[in-house]
Amino acid sequence: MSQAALTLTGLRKAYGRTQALDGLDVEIPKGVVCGFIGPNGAGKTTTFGCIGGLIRHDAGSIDILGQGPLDHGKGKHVLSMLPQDCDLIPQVPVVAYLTHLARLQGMSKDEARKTAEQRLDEVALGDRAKATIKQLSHGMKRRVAVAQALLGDPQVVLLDEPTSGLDPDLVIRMRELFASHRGDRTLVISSHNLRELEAVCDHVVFIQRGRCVRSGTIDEVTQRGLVMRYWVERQFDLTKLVDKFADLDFRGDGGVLTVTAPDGWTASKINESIVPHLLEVDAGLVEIRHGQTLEDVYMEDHRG
Amino acid sequence: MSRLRNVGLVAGFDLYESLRSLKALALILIYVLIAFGATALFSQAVNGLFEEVTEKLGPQAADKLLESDEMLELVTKLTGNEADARELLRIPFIALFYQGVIVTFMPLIMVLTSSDAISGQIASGAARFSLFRTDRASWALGKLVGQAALMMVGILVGALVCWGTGMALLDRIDAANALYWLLRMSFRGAFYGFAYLGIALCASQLVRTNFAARGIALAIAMGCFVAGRIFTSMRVRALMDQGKDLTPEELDNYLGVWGVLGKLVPSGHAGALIKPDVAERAGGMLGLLLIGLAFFGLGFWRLYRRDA
Repeated sequence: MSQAALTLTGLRKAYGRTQALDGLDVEIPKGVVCGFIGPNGAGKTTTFGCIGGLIRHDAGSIDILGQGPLDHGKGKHVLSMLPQDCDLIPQVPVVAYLTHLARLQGMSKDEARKTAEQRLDEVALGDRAKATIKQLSHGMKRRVAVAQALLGDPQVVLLDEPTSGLDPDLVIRMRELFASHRGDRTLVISSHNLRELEAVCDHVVFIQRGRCVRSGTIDEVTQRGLVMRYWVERQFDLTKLVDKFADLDFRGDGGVLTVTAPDGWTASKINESIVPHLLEVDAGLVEIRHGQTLEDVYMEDHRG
Repeated sequence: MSRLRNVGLVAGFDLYESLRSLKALALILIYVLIAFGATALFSQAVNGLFEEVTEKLGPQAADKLLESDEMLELVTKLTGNEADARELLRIPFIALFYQGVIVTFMPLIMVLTSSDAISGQIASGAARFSLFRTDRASWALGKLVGQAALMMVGILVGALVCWGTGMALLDRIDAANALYWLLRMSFRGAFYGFAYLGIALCASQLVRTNFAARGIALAIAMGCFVAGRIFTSMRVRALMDQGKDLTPEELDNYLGVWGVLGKLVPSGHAGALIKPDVAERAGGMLGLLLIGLAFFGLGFWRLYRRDA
């Protein structure tokens, strides 16, 4: 039995002369919440489309849960998705729409209705179940779209920009909802909001120009455990630190001191070594962060 | 089995969403207006005809007009054979008229109202919510069945309006018999509509925008109309050249490849819908069904390969 929820090998897709996917190789483990990160035009939406069978890829292979590509004939509904920029049918009541979509996944009418109502409650729309789609605001429609992606019991869920257009409190609620599925199913979330992804994901994939440029657990990618960053208010001389801790690497950038340690060090050990010195030289320590942020990693890749 | 289930689910939902939309209201309004307007004009003409006959030949002659040998002879001359003439005279005028309304207006109605059934949902992205849940064939077939059901609703509403208008305006009408034949003719006419529904959904699967789909569907329907006219004129010419006693098979043999090509457009089968012979009628319906499915299949060939 494969331990990967999704394996993409050499995936290629061109739109005319534009190569959207250029031999994309990605492996996403089962049960994780995975951030799918890349600039506009990197191929994120195309990748999701190929996996969901909406877009025909030119070459390469897709394997979902070790069962090959999506096959509706196999009966069990293993994959669900929230496609980007899709309008729901406006004149249909929300619960009837979700019930219909759930029935397409093989559920009985009663089961489908039950799961539809449950998911609507989860996205805080239980009281709008009988409203038609056109009576909902943009944010509400987005939540209905998220609810449809979580109908039933899909093992792999692809969410393309699930929180775009949502109020901050709803973003938090969605984040909690996604996190609640961790372990039960694999969620792959594409978003431009890297802080949001950092808060909810335990695995990330960076793609650029249709290729995977970096992937791994969030700790690996952000080098948590190896990198500490200190925000200070005043400039100070780094020489003493460099002399004292020869195996550490120091980089000062404006008001931020970045310390990178080799294997064998831990975050607490770095702090125990560095913080007393910063207090001693009166550097004005205001903040300490563990590892890089996804934004730092993204910018590093992007500049590179 | 699950595919068949999904075809049914998509069809049911398509009909449900259509009936909730302004589109369905507009469609049914079109059927009602056409059925009402045309039947009112028709009733006026028929009443006028009978009044004239009554005036010139007396009320008894008017009563027996349709059963008279003269009428049979006249219609036999028009149709080319007596069996067809007897069948035509057996069917109430109003039902025959409604069949004519269907054949005349259905192509345009189907092209205008159904050509966005698939392209609209592809353009808006709504199709994607279904297409990762079910295969494209089940989804597209479901759409075809749903639109066919909507068409049937429209035809039946039109038939009832036609019947009601006839009841109110026609001086001579056997209510039960007229309704029975109107329903029969609605069923037969639905096959003619289905051929054009296939054309509409073919276009709807070929392109992404409703405007383009409508344009392509109109162009194909116009092409079929023009081709139908050409083939009909060839048949008429052949009958005039060879004499009207030719059987349909002999006529087809005489026309050769043109006879075969004539069967590839819907109008090549319209005449068969009012034939007395069941086999001939069923052949016409089957031909129309196959034309509709062939066009639908042609569109699906493209939908299957393209990005949704």
